[in-house]
Amino acid sequence: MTVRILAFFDTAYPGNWSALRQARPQSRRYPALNWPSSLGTYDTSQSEQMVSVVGLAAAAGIDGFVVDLTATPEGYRSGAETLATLCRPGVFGLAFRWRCGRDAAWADEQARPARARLLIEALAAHKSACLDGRPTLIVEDPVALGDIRQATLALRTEAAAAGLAGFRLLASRAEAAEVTGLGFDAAIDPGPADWGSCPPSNKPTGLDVLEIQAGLKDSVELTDKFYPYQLFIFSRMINREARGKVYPRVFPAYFDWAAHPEGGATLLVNGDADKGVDHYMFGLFVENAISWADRNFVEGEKLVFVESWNHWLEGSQIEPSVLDGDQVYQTVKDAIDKARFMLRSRGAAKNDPLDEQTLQRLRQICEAAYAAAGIKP
Amino acid sequence: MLAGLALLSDGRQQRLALRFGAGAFRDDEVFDSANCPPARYLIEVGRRLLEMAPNARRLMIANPLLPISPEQLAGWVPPVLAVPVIVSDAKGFPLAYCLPRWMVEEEERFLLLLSTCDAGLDQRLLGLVGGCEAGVVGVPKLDIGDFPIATTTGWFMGRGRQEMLRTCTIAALRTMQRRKVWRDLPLAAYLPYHAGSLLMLNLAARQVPNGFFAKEVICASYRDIVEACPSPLEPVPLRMPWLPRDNSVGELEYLAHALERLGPEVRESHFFGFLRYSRLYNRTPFHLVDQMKFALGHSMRHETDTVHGGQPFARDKADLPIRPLKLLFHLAGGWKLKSYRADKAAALLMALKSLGCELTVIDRPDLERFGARSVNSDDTAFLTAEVRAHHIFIGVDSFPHHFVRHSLGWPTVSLFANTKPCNSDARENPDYRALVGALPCNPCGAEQHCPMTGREDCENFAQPHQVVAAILDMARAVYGFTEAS
Repeated sequence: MTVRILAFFDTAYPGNWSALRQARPQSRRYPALNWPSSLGTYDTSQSEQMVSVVGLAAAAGIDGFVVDLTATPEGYRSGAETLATLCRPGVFGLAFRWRCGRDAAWADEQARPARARLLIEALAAHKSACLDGRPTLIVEDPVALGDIRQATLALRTEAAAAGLAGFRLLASRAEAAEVTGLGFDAAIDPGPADWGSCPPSNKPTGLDVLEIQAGLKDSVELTDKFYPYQLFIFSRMINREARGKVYPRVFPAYFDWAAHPEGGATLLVNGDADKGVDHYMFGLFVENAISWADRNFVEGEKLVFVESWNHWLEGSQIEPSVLDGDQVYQTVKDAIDKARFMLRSRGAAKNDPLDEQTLQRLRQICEAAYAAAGIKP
Repeated sequence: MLAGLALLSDGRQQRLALRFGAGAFRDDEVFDSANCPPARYLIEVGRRLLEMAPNARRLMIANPLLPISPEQLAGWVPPVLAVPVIVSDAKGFPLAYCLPRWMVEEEERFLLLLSTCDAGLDQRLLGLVGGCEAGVVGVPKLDIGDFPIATTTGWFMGRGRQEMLRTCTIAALRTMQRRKVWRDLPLAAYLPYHAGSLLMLNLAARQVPNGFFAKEVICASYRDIVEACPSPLEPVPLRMPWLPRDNSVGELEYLAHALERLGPEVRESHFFGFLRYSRLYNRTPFHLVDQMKFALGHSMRHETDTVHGGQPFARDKADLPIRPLKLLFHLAGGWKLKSYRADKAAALLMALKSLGCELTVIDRPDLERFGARSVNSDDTAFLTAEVRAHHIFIGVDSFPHHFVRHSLGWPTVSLFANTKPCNSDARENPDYRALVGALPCNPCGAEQHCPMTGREDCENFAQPHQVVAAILDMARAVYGFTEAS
C-alpha cells in the first residue's frame, strides 16, 4: 500500500468536446483552452477508447478517477459505467464526488432522506469498482447540505443499509476541524475557485474602476480573480499539519472563464502564455504533496487528489494536449515515480509516532519557550 | 531523451531511445546523476546498445546534451564507417558519435574525457584513442546556437560549464601527446572543494571497486575528511583554498588555477574527469552517493543498487548514562536558507533545556543565551569527539550531518528545508529521522533569500515542537530514555 493518487475525471464526453470547441474568451487575459492530442476526442461510453485513457492514467501511477454523481430528477448518474468495467482491485478504482450546492432537489428539505438514498444507490451501483474496495464520496460545498450533521448521518445510514463497508465521506474544506465533528472522515482541499488560498494579484484602483465603466479597460480586472500560481500553492501547503486531516488537491493550472461568460472567473495561471504550463513547479507540488500525505496519514488513509485528468474547460487537465504535448502528463508521471521511489526506499522502518497528548504538551512547551525568549513565533 | 543506433554488419539498424529515470527503474530509463560529465551518458547508451545488439559492428550515439530521437540519428549515419566519426552542427557542436564497437567496449575510461561540446577537440581525442584519423561530418543546416544554462531535460551546462569540460579534454590531449605510456595513467576525479560532495564520493567509491577512477583531486585542507572516511581513490592534494561561496571566484577560473597549481608533473601523469554538476542535482530523487556511483561507472539499473536499498554505511551510538540527555546541534548550513531560523532555534533549545537536556551547538555562539554551550568545529577529529560525547546529533543539510550519519552512523535527526532530503539523507530508522515541511517550492535552489517571501530563512523547516518530538522519540527508541527516567 502506498499513497493513492486519484484524478478528477469528467465523464461528460463527447458532449463537452463541443462545449470546449465553442468556448470563446471574452478577454485577452484569459488563457487559451487546450485540445486533446494523443487520446483524441474520446467517448466515455466506448470501452475501447476508455481502455486507452485508463491505461495511460495507470501508466503514470494514477490509481483511480474521481467521478461526479450528477443530480437528475430521478436520482444520480455518474456516466462511469464503462470506466467501472475497467477497474481492477488494487490496480485502478473509482471514487465519487457530489456537488450538493448544484443539486436543486437537495434544496427541498423534505426530499433529503429520499435523495440521500438515491445518492447512495448510485454509489452502490459501482461498489465493485471502488478504489481499494472502499466507497468514497466527496461532498463539494458541504455548507449547502443544510443541517450537516443530519445529512452525514443520513448518508451513513443509507450506506450501511446498502452494505457499503468502509464507506468514506470527505468534505471539501480547508480545515478538517470544521467537518470531522460533523460526520465526515476527513476533508480535502477545496478547488481553486472555492478557496483562494492567497490574495488575488489583481487589485483594481479607483481609476481602473472608472476606466472600466467608461469602456476604456477590460472589465475582467474588476469581475474576475487572478492568482499567482506559486504563491497560491505555497499558501496551501505551508504549516499544513495545523489544518488537520485534509487531503491535498494538486493542479497544474485553473481558469474557469468558460463557465463564467458574465465574469466571476477564477484564473490561476501557471507559466507564460507563450510557454504553456510551468511543469517544474507543478511537479514539485505533486511530489511534495505525496511525501507529505505519506508522513501525515495512516496506512490505508493516504490520498492525494489531482485536479484534473480531463477538466479541459477549466484548463486543469493533465492529459496530453495539443499545446503542451505530453509535458504535463510526464511531469505527473515523473513526480509520482520520484515520490514513490522516495517512500519505498526511505520509509520501511518507521518509528511509532508520539501520541497526540504528548505532542500537544511539547507544542505548549515550545510556545512557552518562545514567550520566555521574548520572540514572536 | 537519449538515443542510440546499433549498426549491424548486414546493414540493419537497431534503435534505442532512453529517458532520464525518476525512480521507477524501467527498462527504457537511465539513472539520473548530476555528478558526471555528459560523456558518462554516452558510455551508458553504448552499454545498453551492446546489450541490445551484441553483434553490432558500430554504435551511433546521440550527444546526451541534446534531445535527439533514434529516427533523427538514422538520418545522420555517416557514409564512411571505417573510423570514429563525429556528426556536428554548422558550428562544430557535436550532434552524435559514430564509434567502432571495440572503442565502446574497451575504451570507456577515455570516452569519459569527451567534451561533448566541441567536435574538434573530441575528434582529436578519438583519433588518439583509436590510433587513427577520426572524421567529422557536418550537418550544415543545423546550428545548436548558445546552449542554455539549464535545459528542459535537466542539463546544467551553460558556457562556463562547457569551458570546464573543454579544459579537461584539452588537458587530456596534452597528456596523451606528451606521455607515450598515457594509456596506463590514472583517471582522477575532479571534485575538490565541497566537503559534503567529497564525503559522498568516498562512500560511493567503496561500492564501485572497478570504476573509471583511481584517484581524486581534493583541497589539501580536506585531508582529514579522507582520513576519517577513506576510500579506494588515492587523494591528489590540491594546495588551494576552497572555492569561496560568495561566487567571487568562478568554477572555471578555479579549475584553470587548480590545473596550474597541481603542476606539470601531476598534470601530465593524470587524466582529470569532471565530476562537478553537469545536471540539476536536486531534480533527481537519487542520493548523492548513488549519483556518484553512477559517475564512477556503476550503471545503477535496479533499485537495489541504491544506498537506501542497503544497510547503513555505519551504525554506532553513545555509551553514556541516559540522563542528562546530551544533544549536539548543527543549525547553520553553508547558505542562509539552509540554517534553522534563530527564533525557532531559541524555542527549540529552551524547550529542550526545560526538559533537562544538555545542549551543545556548533558554530552558533548567538544561541548560548538560550542555554546551549557553543563550540567551533572545523575538523572531523574534533567533530567526531563532540559527537561521541552526545546521545543524538541534530543537523541541517550540510557536511556535519553527512559525516555524522553516513560515516559515524550516529543517531541523527536531520532538518531539511529548501533542499530535498532524498539527495543526502539516510534510510528512515529508529536512529535516523529526516524532518521537512510540505512546501511545493522545495527544492528552490535559492541560497540567500527565499524566492517566495524574500526573507533570509526558509519556511519549510519543521516546527520546534516537531523537532523536540522527533528527538524524544529517538531517545526513547535508541536509548530507552523517557522524560521520567
